[in-house]
This record gives sequence, structure tokens and C-alpha cells, in this order.
Amino acid sequence: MSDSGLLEFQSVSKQFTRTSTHDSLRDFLPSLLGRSRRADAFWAVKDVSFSVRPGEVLGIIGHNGAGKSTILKLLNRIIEPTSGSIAAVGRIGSLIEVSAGFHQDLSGRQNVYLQGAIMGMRRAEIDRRFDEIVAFAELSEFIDTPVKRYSSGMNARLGFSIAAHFEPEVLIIDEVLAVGDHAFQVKAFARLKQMATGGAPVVLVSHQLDRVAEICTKCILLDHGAVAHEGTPQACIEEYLAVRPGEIEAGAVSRGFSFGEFRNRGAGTVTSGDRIELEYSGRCESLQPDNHMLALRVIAMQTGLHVYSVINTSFSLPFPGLGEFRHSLGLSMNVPEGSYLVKLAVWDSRTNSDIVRGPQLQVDVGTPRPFWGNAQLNAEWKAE
Amino acid sequence: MSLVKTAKEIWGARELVNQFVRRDLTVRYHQAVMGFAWALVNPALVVMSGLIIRFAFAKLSGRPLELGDASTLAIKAIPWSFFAGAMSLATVSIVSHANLIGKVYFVRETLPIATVLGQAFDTTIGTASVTLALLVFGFGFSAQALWVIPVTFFLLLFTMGCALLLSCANLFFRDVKYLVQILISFGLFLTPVFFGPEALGPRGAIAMLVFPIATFIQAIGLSVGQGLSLATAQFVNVQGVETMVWSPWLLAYGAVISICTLLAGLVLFRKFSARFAEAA
Repeated sequence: MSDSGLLEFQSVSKQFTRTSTHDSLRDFLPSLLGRSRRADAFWAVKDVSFSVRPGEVLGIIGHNGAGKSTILKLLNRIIEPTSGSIAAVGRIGSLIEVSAGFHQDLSGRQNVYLQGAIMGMRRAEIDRRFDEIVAFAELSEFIDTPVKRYSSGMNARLGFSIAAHFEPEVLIIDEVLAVGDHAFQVKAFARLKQMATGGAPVVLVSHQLDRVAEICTKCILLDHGAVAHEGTPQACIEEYLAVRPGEIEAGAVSRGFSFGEFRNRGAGTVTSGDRIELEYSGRCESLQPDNHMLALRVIAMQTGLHVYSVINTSFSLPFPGLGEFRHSLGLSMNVPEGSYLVKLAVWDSRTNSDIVRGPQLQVDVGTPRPFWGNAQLNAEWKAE
Repeated sequence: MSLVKTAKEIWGARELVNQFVRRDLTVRYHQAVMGFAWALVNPALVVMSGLIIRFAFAKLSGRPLELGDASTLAIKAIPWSFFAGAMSLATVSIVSHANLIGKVYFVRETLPIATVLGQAFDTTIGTASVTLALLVFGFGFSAQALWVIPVTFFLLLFTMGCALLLSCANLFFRDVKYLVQILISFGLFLTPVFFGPEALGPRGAIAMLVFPIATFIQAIGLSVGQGLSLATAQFVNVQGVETMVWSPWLLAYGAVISICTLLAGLVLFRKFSARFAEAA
């Protein structure tokens, strides 16, 4: 891997038109005579600037529709910016759509050469790395079998393996990481980490916040196409997880349900393994119980992982009737050191979505006895 | 200059062209019998329909059908089938890869170029078969048949240019492919495949010959089929009227047209390819 690459976005913007333009002569020719319709344009990416130097790994996070996919396409030269400029020095490699070029009737072997060529690999380069690619994908026995007989896991493994043996000067990674079974995912992630830390500039676009936190050296948070926050991965993830206040208000008014104050009866930093007592109030104006449930979620702020989720029906706690209500809530914070968000929501089991986003509370957990792992098991360790 | 840059990029992507051609041919020739049939059926059908038309003409005019007619017809059917086949496949070559274009960057020109080259492979098989058949029937090739080399070269350039233009146009206007199919159906009668340009009279002959693909087909028919030189004008006497069926100027004309079409194809294709992913 080379350390000569460079990737730079300078106030890049991209506009799309929502209404489709004419895609047939039959529609296009008459429109030349008549008045042209004004297209409904929107900015998918607005004035985004960043630069990634050798050795840096930039994470890009954001909610759905924030512009991540558009930035990926711009990075990959699939589309061109409406304004601004993109400079990419060196050969760009992508861990995106790694099996897009596969032809189902061709064998695995033929597809390695085809996909490799699409990615810009030279024949000699593929020849040289062919055995490694096949071994990494664990497909030695099936390499001469047509790809249409592959399982989707085999397909994805082969695609990932080809892309992972390309030697780019600039590396772009989409969250394709969830390929194959667990063992392969672990191997793929290790390989990815090795590539990402190989010295080339890297851009990683992901929803998997723990991976962003683990690999990236810096991060940007996108919101509606613009950069909402720029800085360390931790800072961006915390910003990302914070619910924008406007959303709660809007939800409450339209759904006939609102949460009131949410507070911690204790105070300050909690010791890992200790219990916290929380309380909140709310008012139900018109929302019927139907498929609705109160949901409680605890999210680790460094990684964005849900460490705990429960619904009210597990606790013989009925869904609030019309009028004011007040609930109390106790939680044992058997979690590692770090900051956690406790969030409330009204969840609709039929659509599997939150219809009211509730308030959230940040809980900082510390420990006098550091440990590694995912849960606080309160070890008692002593000589007899 | 951007054209030089484009050419360099396409040359840099030759491995991809190679892989696309291999893929198409592997899939097409997967069942060897079907593959070869594919390469032969189209020219064979053109020859057969041509023979039927010639037979009808012969019946009407009272002049018997000769072996020479059939062999010239077979020879002219090859460039026509190449061009028609390349056009119908290349027109959809970008649209049929819309998914890939929306996901991965690669030099887009490789798609129509690979399609034309794949068609050229089929044509090579067709040519070998026709040559063998003609030799078996005792057809003698003259030294003038060597004209086929430069003519084929320019035909290839012209076909590539058209392939680039049409594949690009069909992405933005999806009904271009229907237009191409119609033109291919009627093109058989606008080009001298079934009958020579002399059948249209002195003026009609010139009109037909300036139709670019007609120039190439006539050149191959005259030099390979009838053993005539392309360096001199050729005339046919139709009912007492001397009709010009070839002029050496047509050679220069064909060369210029093919180079211009290719350049226009390269420039326009590149100009619009930035918008491919959004249209795909």
C-alpha cells in the first residue's frame, strides 16, 4: 500500500432533480415545442469540504438520507459534483458493491478476473494474487463452479476477497462489512483494519458506529447533505446519537402523546455495577394503546450500540391511559466504563418503528476497578 | 487535449475490454453448438432472403439465377450482419449494465467497444465458414480481394463510432433501440446487399452509395465477390445506360466518414458519460 495518495473535497455540492427528466424521444421531442417544466431540484450534498492524508482514516456518519451514499458515489467518480472540486491523487480502491460485476453463468475463477478488471486491476496483478484471493474467500473447492450455484454468502465472500487484494493508493469503504458468517466477518474486519491502517488515505462510510470509533482517526457527521459536526469519532458519534429537539416536539403534537421531564434521582457519575433510579412523566392526549408500547433503550455513546432494550409489557406496566402519568424506572448499570444514553420512545409493534421519540438522559459510568469486556460481572476475587 | 486523454484511458482499460469480450463470448459459446449457430444463422438468413428476392427478379426478367449472384450475396451478407448485429447489441450495451454503472466506476467506453469486438469474433467465424463454402463450390478469389483489409478496418472504426453514439443515446432516450431496430430492418434495402446500386438508376446508385454502410458493403462485394479493383471507377450497363457503381472517391469518403464518426462518438460519449449514473 502506498502512502502517496490524497483525497480532497472542496466545497462539494450535488444537486439532483426529483422529477425524472425525459427518458424517451417520444416525450422529449414534443417538450421541445412546448414550455419546459421546471424541475424539482434538491441538494443531496451541500458545501462539503474535507481532506484525507496518508495515514488518516475519515469516518462519515449520518442518518438515512443525510448524503452518505451521494458522497460515496462522488468519491468513486460514479457521479460528478454540481459545484466544487474533488481531488483524488492515486489509484482509488473501493470496498463497495464488491460483487456488482459478477456474471452468474461464469465460474468463480472467471469472475475473479472480470471483477478484478472492473476494479482496475491488471491481469498480471490478478494472476499473482489469485491463489490468495481464493484462499481468503475459502472457495478453493468451488472456484470452477458457476457463480449462480453459489450461496449469497459465498458470492459476497468472493467479492470482498477480490476487493481486499487490490492495492489502492486511496481506499473507500462502505459498510459492506457484514458479509458471510460470523467467522468470516471477523476475518474480513481484521483484513479491512489492516488495509485501513496501511498508510493510504481512507474514507469509511458506516452505520456501525463501533467500527467508526475503532478505525477512524477523524470523523464528519452529515445532516441533510451538510456537515453538522467535524472532529473526533467520539464527538461525532455523541452528536449523532443526540436527538434533535425539534423532532420530539413535532412528534408529540401530531401523535397525541407527549413525554415530560426525564430525570435521574441520583446524581453525578455512576459506578459500574451500581443501580440508578430514574423517573419521568408524560401526558397521553389521544393515543390508543392498540399496538403501541413504551420502549426503553440504553445506547453506548462511544459505539452507538444498543446495549439494552425493553418494552413496558414485560413489566406488568400498562400503556398509559388518557391523561397525565408518572413512572419510575430502576436500572443496574452492569456495563463497562463510558457514557450511555437512556432513551424513551413509543414504539409501534405493527410497523416496528418509533412513533414518538421521547426524552433521553445521559448517564456517565465510571469504575474503580477497570476491566475488559462487554458486561460488569462484579467479580469478587480473593485468596482463601 | 481531452480526446487524447480519453484515448489513453480506453487503452489503459484494455484488460477490461478483454474481460468483457471474454465474458460475452463465454456466455454465448457456452454451448458450442448454439454459439456457432448464433454466428452463422444471421448471415445465412440474409443470404436466403436475398436469394428469394433474386429468384423473384430472375423469374420476372427471364434471366436465370447464377452461382456468381449467390456467392456475391453471401460475401455482402457478412459485413451487413456484422454491422446490424453490432448495432442491435451495442445500442443496449450501456442500459443493460445500468446496475453496474450506478455502482462502480470504470471506463464506460469499454462496454460498446467490447460489444463490437465480440460481434467481430462472430463475424470472423461467419467469414471462415463462407470462405470454406465458396471454395468448395469452386469460387475463385482474385488478388483484388485484398481490398477487404483496409475496407474492414474502416468498417470497424465506423461501427465503433456508431456503437458509442447509439449506446449513449439509448441511455437517455430509451426508445432509440426501437428506432435502431427499424433502421436495421429497412437498412437491408438501403444498402446494396440484395441488389446492386445500379438497380436504382444512375442517380439512385450514387444516393445509395453515399449511405455510409452501403459504401463498405459495395466495396467488399465488388472487390471480393466480383474481383474488381476499387482503385478505378466501375460501371454496369443497365438496359443501355452506363451506371456508375463505384468510384475511387468513395474509398476516401468511407475513410473520412468512419474516422469522423469515431471521433464524434468518442467526444460525445465522454461528454455525456458523467451523467450516465444518474440516467441509468
